[in-house]
Amino acid sequence: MRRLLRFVWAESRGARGRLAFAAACIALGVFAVVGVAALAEGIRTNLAARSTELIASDLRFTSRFAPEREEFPPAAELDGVRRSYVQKLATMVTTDGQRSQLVELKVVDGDFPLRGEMPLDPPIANGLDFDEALGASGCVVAPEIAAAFGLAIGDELRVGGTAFEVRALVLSEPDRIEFEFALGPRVFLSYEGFRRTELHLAQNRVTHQLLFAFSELPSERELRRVSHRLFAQHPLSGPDGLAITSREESAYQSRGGFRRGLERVERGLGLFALLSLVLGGAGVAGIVRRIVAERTGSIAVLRALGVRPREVLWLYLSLVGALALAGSLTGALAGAILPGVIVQAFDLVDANLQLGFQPFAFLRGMLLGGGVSLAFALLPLAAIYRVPPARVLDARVAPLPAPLWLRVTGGLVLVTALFVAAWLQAERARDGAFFGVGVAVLAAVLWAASWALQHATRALSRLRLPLPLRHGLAALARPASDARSATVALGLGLLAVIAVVLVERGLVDQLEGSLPANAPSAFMTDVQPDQWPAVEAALVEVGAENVQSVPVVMARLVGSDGQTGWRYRREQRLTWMEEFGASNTVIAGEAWSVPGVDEISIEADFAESIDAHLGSTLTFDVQGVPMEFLVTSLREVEWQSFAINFFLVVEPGVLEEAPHFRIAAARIAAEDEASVSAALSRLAPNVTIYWIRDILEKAVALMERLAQAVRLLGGFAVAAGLLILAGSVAAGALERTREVALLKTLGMRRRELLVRFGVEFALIGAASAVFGALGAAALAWAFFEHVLELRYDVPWLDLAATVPVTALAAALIGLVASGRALAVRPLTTLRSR
Amino acid sequence: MSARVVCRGLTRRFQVRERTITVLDGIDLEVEPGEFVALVGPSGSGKSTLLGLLAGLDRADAGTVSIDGQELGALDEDELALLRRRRLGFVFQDFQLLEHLTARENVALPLELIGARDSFERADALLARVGLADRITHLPSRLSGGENQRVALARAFAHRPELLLADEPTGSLDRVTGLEALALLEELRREQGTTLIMVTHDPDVAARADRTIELAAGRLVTA
Repeated sequence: MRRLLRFVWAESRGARGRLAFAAACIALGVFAVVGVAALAEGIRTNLAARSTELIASDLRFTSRFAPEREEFPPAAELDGVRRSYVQKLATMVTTDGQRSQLVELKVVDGDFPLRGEMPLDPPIANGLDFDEALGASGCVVAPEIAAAFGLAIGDELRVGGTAFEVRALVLSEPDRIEFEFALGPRVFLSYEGFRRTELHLAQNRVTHQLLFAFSELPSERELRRVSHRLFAQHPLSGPDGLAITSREESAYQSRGGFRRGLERVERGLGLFALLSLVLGGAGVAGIVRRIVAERTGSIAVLRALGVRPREVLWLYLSLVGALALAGSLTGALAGAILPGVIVQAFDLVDANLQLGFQPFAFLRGMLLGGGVSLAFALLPLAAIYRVPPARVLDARVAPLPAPLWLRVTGGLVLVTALFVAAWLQAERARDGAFFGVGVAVLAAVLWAASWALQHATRALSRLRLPLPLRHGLAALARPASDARSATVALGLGLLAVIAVVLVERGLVDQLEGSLPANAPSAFMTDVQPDQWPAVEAALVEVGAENVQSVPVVMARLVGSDGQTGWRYRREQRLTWMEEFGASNTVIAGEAWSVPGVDEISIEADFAESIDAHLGSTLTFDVQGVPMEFLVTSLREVEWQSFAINFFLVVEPGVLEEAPHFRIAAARIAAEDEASVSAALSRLAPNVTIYWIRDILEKAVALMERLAQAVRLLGGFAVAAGLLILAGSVAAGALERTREVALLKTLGMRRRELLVRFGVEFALIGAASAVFGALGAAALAWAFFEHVLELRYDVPWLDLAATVPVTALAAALIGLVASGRALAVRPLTTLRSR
Repeated sequence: MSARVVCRGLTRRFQVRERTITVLDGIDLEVEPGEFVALVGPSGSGKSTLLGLLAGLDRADAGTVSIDGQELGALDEDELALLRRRRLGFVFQDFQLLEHLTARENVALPLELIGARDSFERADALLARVGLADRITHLPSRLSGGENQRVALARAFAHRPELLLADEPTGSLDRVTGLEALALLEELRREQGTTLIMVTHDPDVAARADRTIELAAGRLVTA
């Protein structure tokens, strides 16, 4: 082993600079892979460690229906169980009736939180539960609310028109993760306080949670048994007494949805990071190929001295292993530290997260870095077998054919390694295969495009162009040029990053810019029927346009054509109307065409999801009253219109007597938003206004956060591409040095040499950018037009801007990497030949 | 230890485009253990090709080469490599040192290949023997031509080969340096009793051999 290490160390002499480039290529990719894995692993570990805190209890049931309070006590069957009842809904708050803000209201009953800390400023007096401290007239608010309204402790805040005294500021909540989507900052009320607002009547918007905490956290099995006893044997009841569905989370599976989301994001980002590593592997392959080509003479001597080809192969594989180890170790260490840096520098995640060293992420990086390096190096190393030992006697001896078994094995190892790496990152064989095939196809397309470009430059270099340009073009076209591999690597990196930017921008544009000119800018919900005339008048008074309002009846779909099942046990919003709006098109049947039957019109996709069709009979439970409707029409709805639309519309004259509320929409000028808020907080304080602009801004901000991470990883792929370019320039330093020496001898000045080389590298950069941009545009177009079925206009001007930028970056990096070659003294070089 | 080399009907042809060129044509040759044989002849007469076949670096199209009765044609590439590693030594006109290895590492290489534990110590002793004790950590690029050839000689004798094959070992050296190198080569050969087959253009060098074999157009002129 010591001898092998000594051989490897000695063999690396004269190639250490290039090997360092190769190691840097791998380090960059491993850094990206480990960074993503460590961040996700860190968050997951924190979720697991804080699982009881994240649901503020040991066991939590979430439901859209209120439990009967007398049903709540089944937990009393269990000794030493503490419990809390939480209700959540979005609503408006104000201080003076002039300005209002959307908040997430949380109503707590009992000693909330049952697990975890919820620090308040000032803290609750000793001996009081949280709800007792709030009382019927107190509230606790997030600091953002206090800042927005200039509130101090003891000031008044109106929730749903009812005044509450601000008792404290909530500094953090155990069950709120910062990067989850939230409609607004938090306001806490007690159960008694909530009843004073009468917002509890808006039950259709309230989410209910029952929380339980045991004296000691039971085992997972025990908790499941308790959960079954509490929930399955004592089902929570809806208003009609029917058993209802509920989401159950225990300390062992808390934040299941969030965890799943995190895993999806991790898989996506993990594959993106893998792209950098794959490009790094391509860089290793290029550099290894160069080194082996340069060492042909040495390999022949080794073979003449009795070293077997497989021993030379092992020697070079060990060399690659050493560089892979160095690169992977560097990248993995840096990547393992990344999560902590992100938390502090970018404020991207919950500040409560403690993200330490993640050993599994580190190991994954080491494994992938080593595997990818060796897999990519195997095919270039097959050239060792081509070196004839007789070359020591005559350098003109023809190379031997590389053994077929080695080429086949090398190819198989590369394909398998790519697939396994992608599988490991994607955690699904199908996604791994898709990634591998996708990268291979894109690389093949870029390779073909580079090949065509090389042939075109050969023809161009024969034109009467300025000397440096002609030489730059000719250099690209020469047979031993690395232009093709550099173009493919850089192009692939650019393709990935540009595609992500295009998709993200396209989605943001769709969110922000695709609203029709007359689309509503605000939606109002919970408007009571008797409040509507006054609300409508107030909207008209400020000049609101396109004011619409429809009644809404909450009902549960129980079955279709006699079929029942979970998919039918969902709460639905029904409305009635004579004429459908302009954004609806009846595509089958005819609405309100069958006398003597209660008819319903269904949106076509929704009909498919519940297996309904023309002539089906849908059974609803309308707040305790069973009703049947005949499907007489199917509609297509243009949801992008942002008009008020429904999946289910009932014919007029059937539901008018059912308890209902109204939702409304209007287009309100931005400068009138404050006065509308003020008017509604006076006229109908229970009404909640959703400003589309605010919601879109929040959605865009959330998307931006994700896109930021993806762009960062895309940047790694581009950096890997540039590094490969620099690496291939450095790898060809020997030839370049000879070329420079000759050109200098023939009288070319330093400035002309700079232009000559600059042109060559700039052309590689420009070609990569053109190929990358075209490929990205094609992918983005296909994604929008065929996956999202949205119209997409390629931003050609923006794409064109990537060409000079990349060309300049490539020229600069190439010239820096050629620094030594350019500084060479011609006599020394020519003598050394 | 020294080796006996026997060639029978040795023929080697090369395909150049559509022409077949016969470089060696039915060579019969016997070299006795400990003998020093000089191979002479004009350029293109097949000297280096013959040397390559004797070393098992190339395969004959017809005929046989055997070393101490071991026929090289019957050995596969790995066996040939092991034969060279254990029993053969080489000296080349352009030294063929590994450029990225120091003088000591170059000389120690054959010793390490046969698993010698004290390879560096023996390499150092040999380098001292050829007058390069103060150059052991130098790379070949920092040594003169004569010094490089002395390193090559030390490497060639490091593992005490039974047969030494030398391809114009003085060809790229000036006359004085060349004669010095030759003297050293003979000295080491005598010490170890090695069989030596040397390709040379120089009649003075050939005159120092026990026997001279002349090749012309791929055939033996004298044997």
